[in-house]
Amino acid sequence: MNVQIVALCLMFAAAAAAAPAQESRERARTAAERAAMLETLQKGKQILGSRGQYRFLPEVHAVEHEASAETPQEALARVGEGGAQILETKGRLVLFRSTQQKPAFVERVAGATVYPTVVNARTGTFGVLTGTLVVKPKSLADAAAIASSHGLEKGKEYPQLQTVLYRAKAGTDIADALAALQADARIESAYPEIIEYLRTPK
Amino acid sequence: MKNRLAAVVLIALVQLAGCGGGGGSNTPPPPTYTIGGTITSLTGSGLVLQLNGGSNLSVNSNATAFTFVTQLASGAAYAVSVLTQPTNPSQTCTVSNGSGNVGSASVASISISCATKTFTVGGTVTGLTGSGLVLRNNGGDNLPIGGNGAFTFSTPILSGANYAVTVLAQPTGPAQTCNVVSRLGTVGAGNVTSVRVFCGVFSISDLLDPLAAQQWHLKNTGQNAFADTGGITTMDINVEPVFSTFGFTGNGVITAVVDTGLEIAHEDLAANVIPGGSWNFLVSANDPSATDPTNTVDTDGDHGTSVAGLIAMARNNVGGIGVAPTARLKGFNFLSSDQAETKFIDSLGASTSSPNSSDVFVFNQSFGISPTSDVLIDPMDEAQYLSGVTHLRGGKGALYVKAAGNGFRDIGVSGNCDQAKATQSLANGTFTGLSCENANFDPDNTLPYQIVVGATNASGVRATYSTAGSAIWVSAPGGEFGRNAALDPRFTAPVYAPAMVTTDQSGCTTGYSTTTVNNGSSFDNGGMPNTSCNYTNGMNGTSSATPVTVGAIALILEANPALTWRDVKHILASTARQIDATRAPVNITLSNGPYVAEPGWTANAAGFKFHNWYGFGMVDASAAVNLARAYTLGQLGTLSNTGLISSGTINIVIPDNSATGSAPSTLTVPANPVHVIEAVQISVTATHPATGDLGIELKSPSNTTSVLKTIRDGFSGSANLNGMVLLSNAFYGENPSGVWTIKVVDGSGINTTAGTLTGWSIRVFGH
Repeated sequence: MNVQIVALCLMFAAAAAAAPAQESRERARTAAERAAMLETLQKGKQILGSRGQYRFLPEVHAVEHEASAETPQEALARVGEGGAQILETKGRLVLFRSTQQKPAFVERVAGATVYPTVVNARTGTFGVLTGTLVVKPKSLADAAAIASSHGLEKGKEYPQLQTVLYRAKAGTDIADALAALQADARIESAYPEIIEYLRTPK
Repeated sequence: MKNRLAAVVLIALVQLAGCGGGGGSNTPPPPTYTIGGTITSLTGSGLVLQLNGGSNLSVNSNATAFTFVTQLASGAAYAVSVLTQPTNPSQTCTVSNGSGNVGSASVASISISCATKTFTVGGTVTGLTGSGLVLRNNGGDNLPIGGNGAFTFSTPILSGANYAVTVLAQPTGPAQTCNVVSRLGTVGAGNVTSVRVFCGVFSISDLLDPLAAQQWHLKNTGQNAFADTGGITTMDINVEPVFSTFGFTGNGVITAVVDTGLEIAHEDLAANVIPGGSWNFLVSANDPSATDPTNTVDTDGDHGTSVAGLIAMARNNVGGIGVAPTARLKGFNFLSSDQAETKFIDSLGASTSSPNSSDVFVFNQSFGISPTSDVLIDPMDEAQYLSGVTHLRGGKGALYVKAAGNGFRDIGVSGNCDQAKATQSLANGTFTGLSCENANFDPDNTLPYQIVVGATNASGVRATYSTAGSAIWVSAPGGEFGRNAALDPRFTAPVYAPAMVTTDQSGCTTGYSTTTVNNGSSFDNGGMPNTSCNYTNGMNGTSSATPVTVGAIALILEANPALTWRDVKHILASTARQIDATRAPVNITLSNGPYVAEPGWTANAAGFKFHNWYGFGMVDASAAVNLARAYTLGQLGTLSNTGLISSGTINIVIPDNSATGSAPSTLTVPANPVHVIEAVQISVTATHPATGDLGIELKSPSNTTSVLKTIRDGFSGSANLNGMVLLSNAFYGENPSGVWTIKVVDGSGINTTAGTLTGWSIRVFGH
């Protein structure tokens, strides 16, 4: 009872003799096109995330669209990116290629939040940086001091996970803030929250 | 200039004054005075006061004073009365000093005094044969019940206040379990008589819930569930004996539907929804009017509402029933959010407020990802699952139940399933051959803290779509598609076999059942008996198998609340029913001979039978509850693991198109600390230009072989495995001590290049 099941349902109706060779060529073409597109994107700083290495994409941004109220194109128009190329959607997030290169920070544009993006260096998957930094301090007692010394806003604490969330303040480059955290001796691990794989009904 | 203008104005004023009066005397109108007073204790809304039978004044709730707009002259009579009494809460307002004659000042001495009405709370008891039943309202008003029939609590409740009826003492002689439905609510403008107490045992045929007879997953009689064809008798979860022997219904068990949404006011769910317990990530608020997390994203159905029904549709004479019809429900609409990881863990027990997921016993996860290359798990997710099984439910651990996936035939990426499909054919109600998707593709499924569920259909075999894999623990009914050929003749047979009958978004304009488009079945088009469109007969997927299993776990936990999460897993594995027992292995002929790409049922050295399609088999609720009641606590000891035992770099060639596969690589697991296996994880690194070609087998020291990844799967042309984590449950109960052997086979689906097994590691969980 979801898109995938509906697609499967339709497949029952498909002719038994499908055209696998043709589909393979199509798949190869699509993969090649995506690889070529990735090659053309400007790559920024390296970011060590929870699933490995990522590269910041200065010209690719994401904006959330009101799913029932507007199209992805309308969401882009709302933030002054009406002509931008849509690269991908991740649920309610529209990833687009802008003519503007920006640092890695979350910003508000015309009442909407525009997020920076990354690409997974191994898989080529796009990810969206939410601006939240997931930090495991060696001692939770240092949580406030860490926020203070790095100019971050302290968010929710998960004592059972020995984890604290921080948010980079407006105008703070997430990659820079993360690098500083990862170099802090008081911190066991730090990585950015990245929306990369969307879970769907199964 | 200014002086001249002032003179002109003065003259004009004099002339105007001379025009007035028409030559008579200038008598001013008589003075008038306001009529008003004070109000006390007005909390309801809608109060309307009336002056002299004609001048109405609406008064807002919580007002403390009033004044009529109409004013009266001195000497005039006034009489104030209440035209409309307030509601929400229902109140009675009375007037004091409400009449008299106006003197030479405004009247402010009228008093309106409001008192909130009280009403009784009651209902009916049925099925009671024992003695000693005591009901309790709001934690204090105890009511001994002597027999079946109507009851009323002695303490009236203020209108607008909540009531919460519970069973304080269950009957004895004979011992019975009584369950309260419609037990929560807010007193309105009348006595509450809707609380229902069902005692003792019941059969599905006793139910007055009209759709229950079509819920084949509860009791399969071969009914068609409003599809074209029926299933096979007894191919169900055998839950009726739980109802008819023990009367267990999931009482006291809190479940969470982590999904797209949950229509908390649905007629067949509301009785079990925990007020204020759900959370809507789209609005991030706990205001009751805003926390209904009904899906606002998908207009063609709310997946979570249908999932919830399979767990806990109420026994209330409408719709059907859930597997655990008195289990409590919370809804967290994570799937409709931006899906930030922090929202994910907040939905899965990490959060004590906004939302509170920390009191949940069983989490329903009818979701997943279908990557086409290996994905590492997010460490925060893994940490939360571990935390949940360690700390929640008072340290006994929450249960995490997860859908295996619907990717046997397709994973939604063009071409990636061609190689698997080439091995498949449709026979006896399902597709034979190899699964395109492996349950191990989704890294959340590779954790021992999960109960991963595959789906069966009404014929008692794997549902056509159900993803296979060694990470599956058990299987449960998920159904086929429930369509009617007369309304949509495009498809082949399985599409017209039963799907699941469950709740749908209310009304005929939203949800899977609507009257606005042809949904492929009469039932889902608003036909009889679904003219309300509040239900669907088209729900399916491992999304459905998951809540059926959650419901069964709720019954197990009611039978024995002291069970730990591992006890519950053990009970499910020990009591699951072997189905499709004669299913043949899938043999693929490679260049140098036949290869068993997907084994059939395999009995391991501990006596557990396992199949990658079904795990340990189909959930048997009755057998599980019986074992739960007789279970010896503590028999599983303490969970530990071996840590990662690594091969280091080995660089073993994986020959192309060879049944022989890579030369065996071995790792030795020491005798301690794990003596009995509960799960085995391996991590594999390999180079190959098309990892969809690769199959991965693991052999235990007891010579049990498990295929953790089948050849020709949906990884297709994706290159290299980079520490991919895979889990197998096939070794459950064995002793892990000794030599483990891995073999990687290149099934030559896409690519004719040999690969290299760079290295691997193993971690055994158990006690």
